[in-house]
Order: sequence, then C-alpha cells, then structure tokens
Amino acid sequence: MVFPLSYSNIAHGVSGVSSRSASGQSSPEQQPPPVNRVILINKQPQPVSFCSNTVSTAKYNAITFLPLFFFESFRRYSNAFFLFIACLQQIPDVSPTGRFTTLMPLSFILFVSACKEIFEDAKRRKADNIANNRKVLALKSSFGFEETKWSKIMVGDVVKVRNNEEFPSDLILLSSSEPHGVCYIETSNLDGETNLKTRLSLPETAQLQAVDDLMALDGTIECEAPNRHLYDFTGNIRPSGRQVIALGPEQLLLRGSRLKNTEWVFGIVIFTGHDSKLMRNSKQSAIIRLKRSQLDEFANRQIVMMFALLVILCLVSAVGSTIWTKGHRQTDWYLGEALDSTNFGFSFLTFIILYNNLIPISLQVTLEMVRLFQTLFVSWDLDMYDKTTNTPAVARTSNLNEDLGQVKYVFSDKTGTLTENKMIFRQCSVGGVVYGDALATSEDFVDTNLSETLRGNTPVAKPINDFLLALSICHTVVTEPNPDNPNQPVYLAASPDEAALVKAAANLDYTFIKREPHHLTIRARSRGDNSKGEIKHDMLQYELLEILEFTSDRKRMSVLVRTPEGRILLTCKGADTVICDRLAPHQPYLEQTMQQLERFAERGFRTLCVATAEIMPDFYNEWKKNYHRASTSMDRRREQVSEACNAIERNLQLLGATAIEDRLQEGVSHCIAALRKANIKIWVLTGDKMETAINIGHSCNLLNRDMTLFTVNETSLDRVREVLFKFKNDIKEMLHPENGAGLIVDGRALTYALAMDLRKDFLDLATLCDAVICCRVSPMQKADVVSLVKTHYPKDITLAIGDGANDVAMIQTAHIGVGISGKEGMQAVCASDYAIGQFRFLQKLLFVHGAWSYERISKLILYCYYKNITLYVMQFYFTLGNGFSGQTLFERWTIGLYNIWFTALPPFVIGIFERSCSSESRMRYPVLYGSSQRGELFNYAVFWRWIFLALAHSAVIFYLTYAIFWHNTLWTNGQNEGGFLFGAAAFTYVVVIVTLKAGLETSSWTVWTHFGIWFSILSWFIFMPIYSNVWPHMLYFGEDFVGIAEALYSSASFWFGLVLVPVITLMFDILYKAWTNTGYSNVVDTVRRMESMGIHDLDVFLSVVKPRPLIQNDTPLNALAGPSTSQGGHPRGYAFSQDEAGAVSQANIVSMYGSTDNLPNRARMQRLSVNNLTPKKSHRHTESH
Amino acid sequence: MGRSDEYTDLNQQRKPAWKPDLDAKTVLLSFLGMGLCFVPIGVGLLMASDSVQELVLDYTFCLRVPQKNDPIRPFSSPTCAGYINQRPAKCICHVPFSLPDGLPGSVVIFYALSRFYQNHRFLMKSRDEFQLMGDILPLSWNCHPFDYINGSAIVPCGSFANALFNDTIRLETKNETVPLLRTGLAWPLEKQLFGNPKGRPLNESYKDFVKPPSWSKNIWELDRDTPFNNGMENEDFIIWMRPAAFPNFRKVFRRVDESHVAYRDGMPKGNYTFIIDYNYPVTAYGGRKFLVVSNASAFGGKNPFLGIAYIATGCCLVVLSFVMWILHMKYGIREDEALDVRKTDPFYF
Repeated sequence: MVFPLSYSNIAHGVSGVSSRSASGQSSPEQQPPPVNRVILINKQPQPVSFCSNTVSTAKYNAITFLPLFFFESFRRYSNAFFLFIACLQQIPDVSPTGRFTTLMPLSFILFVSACKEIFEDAKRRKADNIANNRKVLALKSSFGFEETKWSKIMVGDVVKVRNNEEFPSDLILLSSSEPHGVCYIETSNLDGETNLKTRLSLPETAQLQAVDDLMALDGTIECEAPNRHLYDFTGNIRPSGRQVIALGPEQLLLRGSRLKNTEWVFGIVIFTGHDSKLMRNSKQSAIIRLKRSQLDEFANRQIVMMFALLVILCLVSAVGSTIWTKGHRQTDWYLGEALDSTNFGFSFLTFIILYNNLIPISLQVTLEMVRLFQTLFVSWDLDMYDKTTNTPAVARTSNLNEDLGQVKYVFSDKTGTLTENKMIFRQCSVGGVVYGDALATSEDFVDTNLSETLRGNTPVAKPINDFLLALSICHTVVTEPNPDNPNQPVYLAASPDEAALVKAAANLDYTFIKREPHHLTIRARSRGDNSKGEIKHDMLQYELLEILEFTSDRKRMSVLVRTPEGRILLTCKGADTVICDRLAPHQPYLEQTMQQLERFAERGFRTLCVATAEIMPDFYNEWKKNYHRASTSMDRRREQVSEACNAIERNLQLLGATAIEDRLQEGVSHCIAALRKANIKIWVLTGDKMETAINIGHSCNLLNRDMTLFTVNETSLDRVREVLFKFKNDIKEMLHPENGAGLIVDGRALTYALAMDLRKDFLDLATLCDAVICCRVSPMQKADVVSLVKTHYPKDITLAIGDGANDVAMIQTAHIGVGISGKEGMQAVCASDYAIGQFRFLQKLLFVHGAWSYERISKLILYCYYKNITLYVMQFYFTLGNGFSGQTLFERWTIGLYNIWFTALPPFVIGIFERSCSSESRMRYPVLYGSSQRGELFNYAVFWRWIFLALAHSAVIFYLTYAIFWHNTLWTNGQNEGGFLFGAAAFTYVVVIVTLKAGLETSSWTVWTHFGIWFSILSWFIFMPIYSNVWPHMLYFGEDFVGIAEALYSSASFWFGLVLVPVITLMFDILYKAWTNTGYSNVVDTVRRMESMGIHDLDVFLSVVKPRPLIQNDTPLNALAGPSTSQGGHPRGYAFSQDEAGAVSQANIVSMYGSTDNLPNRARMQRLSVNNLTPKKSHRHTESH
Repeated sequence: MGRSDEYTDLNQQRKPAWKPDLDAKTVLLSFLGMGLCFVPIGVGLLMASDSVQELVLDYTFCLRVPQKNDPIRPFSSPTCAGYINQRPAKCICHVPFSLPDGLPGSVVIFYALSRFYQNHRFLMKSRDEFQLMGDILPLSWNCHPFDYINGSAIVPCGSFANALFNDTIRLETKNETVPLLRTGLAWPLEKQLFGNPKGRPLNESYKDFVKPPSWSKNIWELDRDTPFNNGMENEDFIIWMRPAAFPNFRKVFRRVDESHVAYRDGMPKGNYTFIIDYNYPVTAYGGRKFLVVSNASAFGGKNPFLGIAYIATGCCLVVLSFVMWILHMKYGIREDEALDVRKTDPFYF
C-alpha cells in the first residue's frame, strides 16, 4: 500500500506528492512547485475556484480583439512604417502628397485583414462551442442525474458517462457497470493507440452502483496540480469518516478518451477545461499561435533593407536640399523667404514621405488575398478529396502556403497516418509451402490451393490442419454470440493481430465458437472425410489448462489444452527468434519456413511462428505445481513465472508461420518514395512498439533491407552517449554509404538523447541517416524532436503530420502542421494548419500546391518591390532636378492608385494563376520540388538582382522620357505643357513596362492573366481622360491633372515613345531570359519549356536526373551493424500489439468473459486490449486491498 | 469549402494557358523583325525633326536702347540686365535677327528661362486654386508669405504668381510690326482653372486688393485690349502658372498671326527685330533669358532624340539578334534530342 501523502496536511497541500517525472517526458521547462488540489466530492462551491470546463481556442474576444489585432498588425514592420508615414503626413507643410494619401490605403488594408481575422476566429469559436455544448449526465441536484452541458461541469461533480461517450473532463473512476469496476477506454485521441485500455476503480468505490449511494458520497480528494503527464497521476481519496485510499493512474479517465464496451461509469471531475491533461498537452501557446512562413519572415527582413535604402535616399536628398538652399537663398529672388524656413530635419521627413512607397504598401493585402485563393485551391482540389470519408483538404491557415514548397523534414505519426490500423492475415507458410497472395487487396484470406489441399486428405493436409487448429486455440480472444449466425461469433480481441489470425482460421473452417472459463469450443472441418460432397464439421471441445501470457521479454504466448482425445497439447506462437530457440531438433521444414519468413518480412508483414508440443501428463502435473508456485510467489514473481513457462515451452514442433499485413493507407509507400526522391527526410515518430514501427518502416519504403539500421535502445544516459558516438563513427565508415542508414530510437533512449548535452550528437547522427524512426515516444517528445531539428536547422522547413491528439504538440511545434481528417478524433485537425484526408495527399499538397505557392508568392513579392522601386525612385531623379525640394513628379492620387488599381492586378494573377510545370509533371518528377525546396526563387541574390533591375529600369525610363520631352514642345501648334504632363508620360511608361514585365515573368498565361495584364494598361489609359476632366467639375482634388490626357494623347512623340521606351527597357530582360532559358536552364525551366513545346512524356529525359536514387538493388546485407542492431537480418515485427502487465491480467479478463457467456448486447468492438500504459512500479495497492 | 461534385478548370487550376517559350529562336526572330522596323521609323522621325527650323536668341545681356524720357543718370549700365538692377526703371532693348530663307508654317515664339526652378516645391504649392478660379477670399495658407501686404490681400497671391514673367515684346520688320497673337496658346481645359470674379468690371472686382510685390501692373491691366484675356484669364498668366518640369524650360509666348496676308505661309525672308521691354531679372541667380522663334512638325519642336533613339535601338536589336543566333546554334534545344540538364544545373548528377 502506497500512501503518497500523510493526510494531516491535506488542507494545506504541503507537497507530499513527489512529482514523479514520467518516463519519456523531457520537457525542459520547470513546472512551478506543484500545489496539490483538494476537491470536495459532490459539493459546490469548492474551497478554491477552479478553472471552468469551457474550452476556448479562439484567439480573440470582444475586448482583446482591437489591442491584439493592432499589436499583430503593427508587428509587421511594413504596417508600422506606414502608420508612421501617416502620422508624419499630418504635420503641416511637410508632406509633398497631402495628408491622407497613406492613411486611406493603410486603413483599407487593415480593414481587410481585420475582416479576415474575425472570420477565422469565428470558425474556431464555432468548433469550441460544439465541444462546450456537448452534454453529459451529471449529478447536479437531488433529483439524480441530469443532462448537463460540458461547459457547466465543475470540479467535484459526479458524472455518469455512457458507452461510446467521450469524457468531458479528467475524471476519477468510481465504479462501472462491469465486474470489479473495470471499464474500457479508447485513448486514440490522446496517444494514437487504438487498442482498448482498462481502468479499474478502487474496490472501496466499486460498489457505488446506485444514485443514492453517490448522493450520499461525501469526502475529499486530494491530487497533484494539473500537469501534462498523461501517464502519471497521484492522489488520494478520503471518504468522510474513513481511511484515506491512494489513487493512481488506473483510476484516471482523461478528457479526449472515450468509454468503450462498458455500459456506464461514474466518475468525479478533477481537472476541467484547460487544466485537463489533454489541454495541457496542446501547448499553451496554441491559444495565440503565430506561425509565419519562412518566406514571409525573409520578406519582412528585406523591408528593413528597403528601409535602409530609403533612409539613404532621404539623407542624400536632405543633404542636397541643405546645400542647394544655401546656394540659392540669396540669389533666387522668386523663391522669396520660403527657403528660410527649410531645415535639414523637416526636409528629411518630407523625403521620407516622398519615397515611402519604395516599401510596397499593397504587398501585405495582396499577399493575404492571394493566400486566401491558394487555400481555396487546396480545398477545391479533387485529387486531395477523400471520397471514402467525404473529406476535402482544408487549409486552416493561409500564411504557410509557400512553406509547403520548401519542406525538408516530414515528421509523421504512424498509426492512423501511415497505416489504416487494420490487420489482415495475408499469407502463411505451412509445411514449407506458402499459401495466400501477398499482393491481394481483399480483407479476407483466400487461397484455393489451401482449401483444395485440406479437402484431399493427403499427407500435406495434416500439418495444415494442425496449424489452423493451433491458430484457433492459441489466443486470448473472447467471443460474443452472434444472434444471426451462431457459427460465426463476434470476436473481441486483445490485439488486432490475434483477431486477424482467429478470423482467418474461421474463414478456413476452423471457427473458434466460444470460450468458457475452462473450455474452448472449435467448430472444425471434419478430418478424414475426403468425400467430394459437402463439408462436415465437428464441434471440438478443448479443455483449457493454462494460458502462458505474452510479455515483451518472452515475445511469445502459449496455451495448454487437453484435446478431445485427451492428449495435452501446448501451442505456442511468437517471434521467430524465440520460437526457433525452442524447437526440437530435426525440423523438416525449418530451413524453408525461415526463408519464407524472411520474404514475408521483406514485404513488411508482421510475422509469427506457430509451434506445438505434446506434453506428457506426468510432466504436466509436475510443471503445474511449479507454475502455480511461481505465479503466487511474492518475490520476483515475474521472473519466476517466466522461468516456469520456459520449462514447458521446449521441444516444439514448428507448424508454420503467419504473415499479417498492418495495412498501410492507400498510396503511402508511393508517396514516401516520392517524398524521398524530393530529398525530404522522413522521420516516423510513433507511440507504438519498436518492432511494429520497423515493420511499417519496411512496408512503406522508408527502410529497405540493404540499409544499415542503427538501433538505440539503451536505458541510461551513459550508454546512450556511448552508442551515439559509436554510431556516428560507424556511419562515416560504412562500406556501402549508398545503401543509406536508418536510425531507430526507443522512447526511453530518446529521453537521454534529447538531454541537453547529447541533443546535438543525436541530431548529427539522425541527419546522417536516411530514415529515422522513434518508437514509444510521448506527445511532448514528438514535439521535442521537431523543435530539435527546428532550432538547429532554422532554415529548414519542418512538417509534422498526424491524426491523433498525441500529435497535437508536434503539429503545433513544426513549421507546418498537417492533420489527417475524416477520422474520429479532431484534435489533430484542430491544431493543424492543413488537414487532409489521407497521407498520400501530402504529395500533391507539397509538390503541386506547395511548390506553386512558393513560386507564386516569391514572384509576387519580388514583383511588388520591383514595381514600387521602378516608379518611386524616379522621384529621386526628379529631386535632383527640382532643387531638392521634395516636389512630387506624379500627381498625388495617381500615386495612390498605382498600387491599388493600375498595377494591382498583375501581382494577383501571378499569385493565383501562375504555374510553371504542370501539376502532372510535378507529381511525376519529384526532382522539380528541389528548386523551391532550396529556395532558389527568393533569396538575397535574387532579391537584390530585382532591386538593381528596378533601379536600372527607373533610370532608363526617367531619362528617356526626359529626352523625348525635351523642351516640352510636342505639338504641331507649338503648344507646350508642364511638369505634370511629364510625370503623366513617365507614369504611363512605367505602368506599361511594369505590367509587361509581369507578363514576361509569367510562364503560363491564362485568360485571367491576359485580363490582368492588358486591363491594367488599359485602365490607366481610360482613367487619364476621365481624371483629367474632373476638376473643377466635381471635386477638389484633380487640379494638377486637368487637361493632361488631351495634351498627352495628341502628342505624336508620346505615342512613339510608348513603343520605344518599353522596348529599350525590357530588351535586356528578354535577352537575359532567352539566355538563361537556352544556355543555363535548370530542371524546372527545362520541364516547363518541354511542356510548352508539347513534350509531356519526360521520362526519358528525366531518367537521367536523379538527385538521389532509391536503392533497390540486391547487395548482400550490410555487415556493419552496431552492437544493438539486429544481428543476422533485420528485425521482424512479430504480430502482437497487446501489452503485458495490465491492470487486470490477460488471463483474468479471459476468464471473466468466459464466465459471463451472455454478455450484454453492447456495441460491437473489434479490438479489446487489457493494456495499461502506466509504469507498473507503485500500483500494487489494487491487489493488496 | 470543398465540394466533391464540382469540377471546373478554375478550381482545379487547370485553366488552359498559353505558355510562351522565350528561347533564343523566338527572341532572335522578334528582335530582328523589330530592329528592321525601328531603323526606318527612326530615319523618318529624324527627318521630321530636321524639317523644323528654330532660332534661339539669348537676350539676357542685351544692350539698352536709350529712350527719350529716360531719367538722367551719371553712370548707367549699358545692358538692360545691369540697368534694371540699379533702379527699377523701364529698359528697352533690341534683338535683331534675320531669316535668310524665311520660316514656313505656323511660327511660334517662346520665351525660355534657364536655372529657374519653377518646379520647386515651395514655389509650386504657393498658390490658391480657389482664388485663381475667382474666389478671391479667403486666402489659402499656402500663399504665405505672399498673402497680405499691410492687411490687404494680394491678388494673385503666392510666390508662383509673384514671379510672373513680365517682359513684353514687339516684333518689327522694315518698320512694320509683325502681328502677334497673344491668345489661343493655352489648352482650353486648362483655362477652366482660371476665372475672374463674375458680375463686375475687373478693376472694380480687384480694387480692394493689391498686386504682388514684383508686378508692375495690376491684375486687371494684363491685357486691357482683350477683355477675355484679362485678369486671371490672361493666357500669359495661365501659361506661367503651369509649372514647368525642369529648371530650363520654354513657355509659349506669342504666335505669328497667320490670318494676316503677309504671314499666311509663315514668316517671309528678311531682317526682324524684337523690341523688348526688359523687366525680368535673371542674372542674380545666374539664369538666362531666351526668345525662340520656331515652326513645328507633326512632332512639335525640334528634337532629334526620338529619331536617333529609334535608329540606335533598331541597330542594337539587329546586333542582339545575331548574338541570339549564335546562342541558338550553340545551345538551342533540338526537339529530337533530350536536353541534358546535368550540364547546367549543378544540383543534379
């Protein structure tokens, strides 16, 4: 009996609970010293007010919206800058462009993004409301249980949860409908494991079955403060007037998990809302989540560079202004006293306003709208639409689209993400012959050959018969009668593998009918009947003598039965290595079976060997005594039991081997192969066991048999360090580096590997490997692994994909989080940035949407800078000619409209419709991903190339216009015009050149591209006459522009210039483009060009382009395995996903169900596991009570 | 958002697209074509520019012609530039020129100033648009310091108007005055921005206000002969008020009256003299004053730049197309052979 707390200090909560750190928890942050919680059962109010059960993931509320929104908006340098400019413009006499020319566009932009934020937050709020308004039965009044909203549940309440309901908060289990207060829960939302787990109520509370009992319940619960450790819990309950009883994780029902196979449970609420372990595990920062794409951050940094450029221009201009004024103040009588009022500071501010548009004001809003479209494209994509679950892909944030094009690391969950979590009996080897089709896709095992053989009573039939009998005997499956067909009961299996085996045997006419406490009934095909007619069946009753349970040390399980003939038979199934060791000498088919087993494993199947032995009655009786003694021993019980089992599991006869497919989702291996071809590193992080994880690694192409596998499975820091260093050496000296290496790390070892001093070494090793698999990792460890990569390689984009609540932390940590939607749990999806129906959609999401988005956004940003610089640097050239006075060359509202109208569309059409290389090519040739992945389209070099191009273009346009408009005498009648005409002409040339430049950068012109480009030019030509006729007829703003259009349009020089200036300006751009296209094209350009030539089948051409070949050749096994790597072949996952040492032993469960033949007709389940995840140390009190 | 049953080219991103391929061959042909067009166009433009004759007369330092009623001064500058500096006084100078071949077509006379920063921001903003439209009061803050003198508002206010070019000219030949038009020079739309107060005679409308300090005349005295060209609506004033783009600029000043029989086909050959009423000071800031006599082509005044630029660009395009040709021969994709990108893209092997 463990009393973690002396209850004399309950009231003060002095820390008597040693906060045991969970194995596998390596969160670096230090929790504040735990303050224990004291809860009054069934009483409100509580002594302390606890957090409500309302869960909110919304970012804003009515009060915080404005401050938070403005904070976020002005966190962007550009917005802050424009706010500053807008303020400057309010100072009288400083602004050359009026007072509102910045404020108005800025308000417009902020308004648009505010709408977007509100819209997005409303969506989150809606999802929260659904959760908060769910109902549960709670004991709120003296009238018994009432339907109560989740949000109204409070700490200390007693609730009743019915079958298949989710727990509304973290509960302490009081009692259940089942014997001994057992209940089953499914925790797939929490840890991704789909097999059921048991929870057991305290014997003292288990008898609380009636509402009256519960209402009478009085007392306190003390427990540790809310924390994020899923598998740890300490506390105690003190029913009033009685002794304190310890509570452990076995009594804990967590929010996020679901009651299964149990009619109801009663529980006391202990942690509510954000205090619950589930919410604690979804990182706190999730509430205000600010993920920004790498590109966005880079662009934001460039704004600083642009600001520097701006300041330089302003300084030069302001200095020029001071000098010019000094020289002209005395002499230029016409300027009068005005010059006296100039000073350096004011002219500096003037120039900042004049040049402020070097920083593109419309960029952010354009980006946001374009991103919105890109997210729509994601959700519209029929190739990413999952028809089976009717789920489209959803982009839940729009900021990260371009990051999808740059992914270098993919962190994937296994269960439910890579696999369907469905086990299918695929093949078996009996008597040296393989039956079954490895490539079959059906869920049933079919082999006509096998059935034929069975029918003909040949010598070959005998081993098959024995094999199938063994399969139907040796398991812990319990049955539930099937009212429709008594010969096909429903199987409730501890592990999905076992269910698959029993089902397969049943399909082959060896049906396990029912289990009684001491008997098994098998309905088997009659032996010795070789008639061609109908098959006869015998009901065989086996007396169940003993079940020797599965443990991960033993890697096998056995069943001892007395056959109907009275013989004692031991049937054993387990991992090939352990079975082989226990075989009797001279096995006829050992060699063949082992080879076949190897082949099964190569295909990624989970394998088991099945063997049998006949036990002499005398030996059995002797052994039975030993076994009984061992299993009741108080000292080293486990070891003793294991020894006893060993004694009887000897001299086995090999019957055969089975191959079970842990079925991958459709297209997973193809997708992984493609991702790897694109140089994306894939790390699988799973809570599952090492063997199964490795198996999946093989079957999904992540591992291949020629790889050197490094397994880190150590249990101490020093050992882990040693092994890491050794592997680091080994990997450098590998004989066949081209075969690649795989790293497999166990969760416990990972705890040490992620310790501060080993992190870097672990990462170095991991990045040298082609594939990394981490098994038995906790949710926080997953996140920690991701952040390890993220912090050490800040430029590499990480993507995490998962489906369960156990993946939430990882999804939130990674640059991009992807959730698998369409399954039951929604936590992962809610935390994710993108939700897709199946893993394979990742390929299109990255290769097509990602790469395109990256390309589009890059071009868009660069283009926006380009067009602004091209126009506004002219102001500087003009400044040189107007006495550094800050006079604007262009009419002020045409400047304002430049970005939001005349050149607004080209960035949009680039951002939405540009696509270089068709989606087919991008899907087919992962090589094309490299360009965006390496960030070739947007980096310092590219950025500055565009800036200098813009500077050059603006100089060319300005001085050409200057030369054409020499003297301004452009008309037949000798009339001439002034400065704003010159500005309008230059502006026209800029609009035309800048839009044509957009066209030049566009590689595929859709209808909308044509519209965007030609309409932009046209709109300016239409706008000019309208605007130049406005004043004084309408408003007080267009006076500088009056008559400009007529003057300009009637000038022949202007029209000839309209041909000349763009040709001269863009000539070198075209030349450069043709040069790079022809002489220096990269893969993307080449594929694009081939496509535009109409060559779509590029296999021949691209077959030579391989960034890294996937090795599939048959080189001999690499001998360079480390000490922990599997010796003599790669490890085969044996087919057990059940775990040992649960709260209730496997055998007990079996006998409990055996004794209750008429199980209540409860929801059918396929898998029943008596698995309990908790560390087993200190919870023996259940037995001792 | 996602719909299973909808398939459009737009939502599947499959809109048909034209995918231009700017390779050496395409560029070669288009450059060559454009180049071959540009050269003749340039020649034509150059010829058009050459057909324009213009005569630029710098009269900044023209010599004073003594007048009968000149005040007697012991030392007076021989040039008008110096003379008006010493004392604001009327100075007349003669600028003779000859047209040996005459000047065909419509002849326009410009005045030109150099180093005059009409585009200075302080100058440009120093005006009151409403006053120019006829709403004299209240004055805009922008006019300061040329807004009030001793409490009376200046009309037109602001330093831009104050600096109005106020030289006047007469063109004579053989003792005969060449008829010059002072209207029809500004753009009709532009004139809409200027107006006098309605209803009363100009001198009454403006009588409560003072003229800008640099002006010698009142606003209602700008053209007393032509009522519609007086006050704010005076075209010389309107043209002055249109800011020039650069510090060296020309503004249209007078037009030779073609309705006059002798000048129907432009100016006949002979000797001419500008008789200039020299008022405008430019020497203080090192500027110059010019009178330009010019006819015009379809492209306006003389400006060979466009023609030269076309010819140069055309030649350049032709040369570049040869460069392209070499490039094409050396690297161009032949469709029957797969391009080996490994040579050019370092990331692949």
